[in-house]
Amino acid sequence: MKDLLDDLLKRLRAKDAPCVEYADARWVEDRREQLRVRNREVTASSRARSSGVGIRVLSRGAWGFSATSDLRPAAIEAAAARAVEVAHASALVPRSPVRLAREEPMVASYVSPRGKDPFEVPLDDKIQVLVRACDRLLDGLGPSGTAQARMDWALVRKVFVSTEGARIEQDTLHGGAGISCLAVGDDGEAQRRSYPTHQDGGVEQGGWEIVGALDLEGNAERVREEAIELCTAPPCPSGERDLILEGSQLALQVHESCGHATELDRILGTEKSLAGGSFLRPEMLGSFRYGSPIIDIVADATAPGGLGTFAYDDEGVAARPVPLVDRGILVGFLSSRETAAEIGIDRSGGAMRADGALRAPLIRMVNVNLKPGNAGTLEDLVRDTRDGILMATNRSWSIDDLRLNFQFGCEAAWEIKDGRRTRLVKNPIYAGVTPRFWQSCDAITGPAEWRIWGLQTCGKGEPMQLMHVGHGASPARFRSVSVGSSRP
Amino acid sequence: MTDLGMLAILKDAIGRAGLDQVELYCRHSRRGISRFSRTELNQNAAIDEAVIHARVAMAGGRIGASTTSVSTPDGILGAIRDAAQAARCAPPLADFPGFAPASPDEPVPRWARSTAEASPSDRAEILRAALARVREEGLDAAGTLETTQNDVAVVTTAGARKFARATAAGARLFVSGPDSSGFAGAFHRDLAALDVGELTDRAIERCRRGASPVALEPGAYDVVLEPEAVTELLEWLAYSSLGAREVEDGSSALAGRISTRITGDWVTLADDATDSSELGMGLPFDAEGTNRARVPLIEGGVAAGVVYDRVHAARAGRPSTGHALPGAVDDGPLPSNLFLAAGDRTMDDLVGMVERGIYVSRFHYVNGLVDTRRAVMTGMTRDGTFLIENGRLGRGVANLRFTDSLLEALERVEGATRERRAVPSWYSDGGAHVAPAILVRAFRFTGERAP
Repeated sequence: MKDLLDDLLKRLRAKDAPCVEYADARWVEDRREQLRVRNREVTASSRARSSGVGIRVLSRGAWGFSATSDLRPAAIEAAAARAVEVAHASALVPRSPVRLAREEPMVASYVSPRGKDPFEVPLDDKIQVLVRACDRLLDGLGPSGTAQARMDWALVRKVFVSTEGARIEQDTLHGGAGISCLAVGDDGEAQRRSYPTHQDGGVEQGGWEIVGALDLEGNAERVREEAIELCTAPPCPSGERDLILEGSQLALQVHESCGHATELDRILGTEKSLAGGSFLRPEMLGSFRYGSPIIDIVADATAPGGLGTFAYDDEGVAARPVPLVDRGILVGFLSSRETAAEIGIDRSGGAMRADGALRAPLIRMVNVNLKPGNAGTLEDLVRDTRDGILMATNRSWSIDDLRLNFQFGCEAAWEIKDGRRTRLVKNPIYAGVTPRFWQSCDAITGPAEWRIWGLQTCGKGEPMQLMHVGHGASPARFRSVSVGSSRP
Repeated sequence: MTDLGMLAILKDAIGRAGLDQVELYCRHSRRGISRFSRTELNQNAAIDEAVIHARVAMAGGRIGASTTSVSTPDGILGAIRDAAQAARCAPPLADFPGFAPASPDEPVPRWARSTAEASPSDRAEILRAALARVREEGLDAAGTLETTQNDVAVVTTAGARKFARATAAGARLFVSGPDSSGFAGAFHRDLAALDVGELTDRAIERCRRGASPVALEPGAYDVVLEPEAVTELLEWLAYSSLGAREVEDGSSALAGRISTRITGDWVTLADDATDSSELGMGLPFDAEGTNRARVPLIEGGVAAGVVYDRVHAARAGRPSTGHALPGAVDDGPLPSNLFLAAGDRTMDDLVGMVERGIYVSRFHYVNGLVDTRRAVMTGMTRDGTFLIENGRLGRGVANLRFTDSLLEALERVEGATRERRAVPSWYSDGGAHVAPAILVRAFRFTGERAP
């Protein structure tokens, strides 16, 4: 495929030269497995294979993109011709010409680290892991409750070639599993608890060893009992309180209010039509106080185990750590070759990623990580808090079109009085405004609590693209946050 | 590929597989999407995409599924074999009723030549005029113009043979100035029916009106919600509460409340993919090959029902309503063509009924999972939020966050427009939700966007 695409671009350039200023082609083959168990039934045992070629052409100063899932050479050839046609159609509308930041074309290959290949594990073994976890959830749940378990695997192979001479092959594998339990009280109250996170479970880059480390069965009893207890728990109190966020919720907070906010295409206004822009502007770089001095955030596509880990992005830019916030000050953006050139940055930050071959690459998060602090463990942080709320596991999320005003709901919360968790409270929500919230952060727990959380379904672009991204975080405390209950 | 071609390939693959129970769903999309921002066309794509979902059932209802993008006979056969392998390891699924049998075709008008044949240059020419108009105003435009043709077929060993060809054309325009923005959008099967010039003028007018917005304190305000705002709330209600799975597990706002009053008596909501009016979008059958029925969901404020696929219907002892999604059972059935009944008012009437309130063009980033049993949702206003004073539309208002129960809010509706608009739905192949603008008393705003 690499040679076929290479030839294609050479011929494209020869045929349309000097019209074609730049072109790249990506072949992507995606193999997935999805397992879902609901109570004791397997409601999904599904395998997916998709492949295709996407071709991006810069011609007459404008972009054209075309893609096909038909891998016959004639179909790929036709897609390339269509990409040129689309670029020329784009050029009918007046625009400033596209410039790309310089990038050394690389010839390289990369395979992400993994232990045992999950696609070689017998399907029955995988199903049994989920069924056993569901059995533990159901034991004592009552007839109206629901136990769910899930497992996902994704193996993605890519070839990238460009008219500049890049030839890159990559092979990444990620996956994991999770459980959740919905308890329904006598009065119809329904409360869910999940482990380790609400939506995707615990997903990381790696192999079958990820599932063993999660210990789904070992966590099932706690998950079930908390769901049952929440049905009769009091509502989360309202007012301004010190708020401790556990790791997975803090990861989503980073995602929504730091990751998306620092995407340079949003900042420059080119993604405005779907999910909005950002409150940040290029001129804030180096001076804007994003958070308190203990906040360090880095976009790191080299972080081991992250869902946003790779060797080269979908423009062929090598992965490297890019600081976004340093001691509370905005110092960087997630960028592409085009956006980097536009604001005068030497090099792209290497954040261009596409959801498969049939979608054009966009600026996406990689692993946007909040570095650990020195506040010890979560229990140390609780002991250090006089009057607060600890919230865990996301339930709902919403943020405005400039990534400023947010509101999150969580599955569970615990009231903290004088350094002790006192009682479980239900339907907790909290709200804030991004820089004010991050400036109120006064304690981040240490490396022992830090891990990279994976999100598989970050949506962006039109047509919608779902991207897998990572967020390293350890529990942290925020002072005087507006908290309350979704049902006071 | 023609309808006969697609059906023949699927039938041939099933025949070669030699299995007793197989279901194939195939979608072939030809999609052209032109995205613009900063008043320039900056993303322009032509995508030719095939997806085939195969399901195989073994004895006792053991089901496996697979998906492939390879639409050749061998590719489809490979997908069937993958699904069969998955099925062999799966425990039986209780109440599996088998795959869909044959049923009469119920075609609806869903295809338009102008959309199917639109080229990248056609879209660029339409946008060139619109963007020039925005540029003349010294404003900034972003948005999309999209044309899609979907060929969809379903074949089962139980006899279902379905094919439909549908087109969808959508335009969404955001016009922004230094401190305001305006939105206008339209969705139709026929590109020629989209008046992009009118949308441009409307978005410009909204943007101009919203300049120098005033900040309002959070609190309860009477609101006039445009159809785009209404459909976004309804879509979340559909996702969280209007499918049989959510009723089965008890998380739906309708669980245990069917045949009881759940909202205001003016509310009549149905899912209807069979609508043949200009507003009708979506395919006449679902991913299992069952004809989609018109399903009353709320009638006169009373919970009337939810939508079903074959497994959930069998469990409930009733027929499927034709609302299965492609792929595995776990996703559950979902409505994707909601129709909220029209009222008898004009937009001016609704605004005239408000002494002091807020006009909302659309919402941003709504989340309907805050408290699904009460259908509590939160989100922000966006792209055209205006003050209404003494029955007249006034100046712009800084965007606000709402948090309210949709069902409780619908109790407080005092009027709806005769005119309705179709807005694309997320979880469908070209489906749309249809709603009028509505007037809601005392809608709860809980936060403002800080400077």
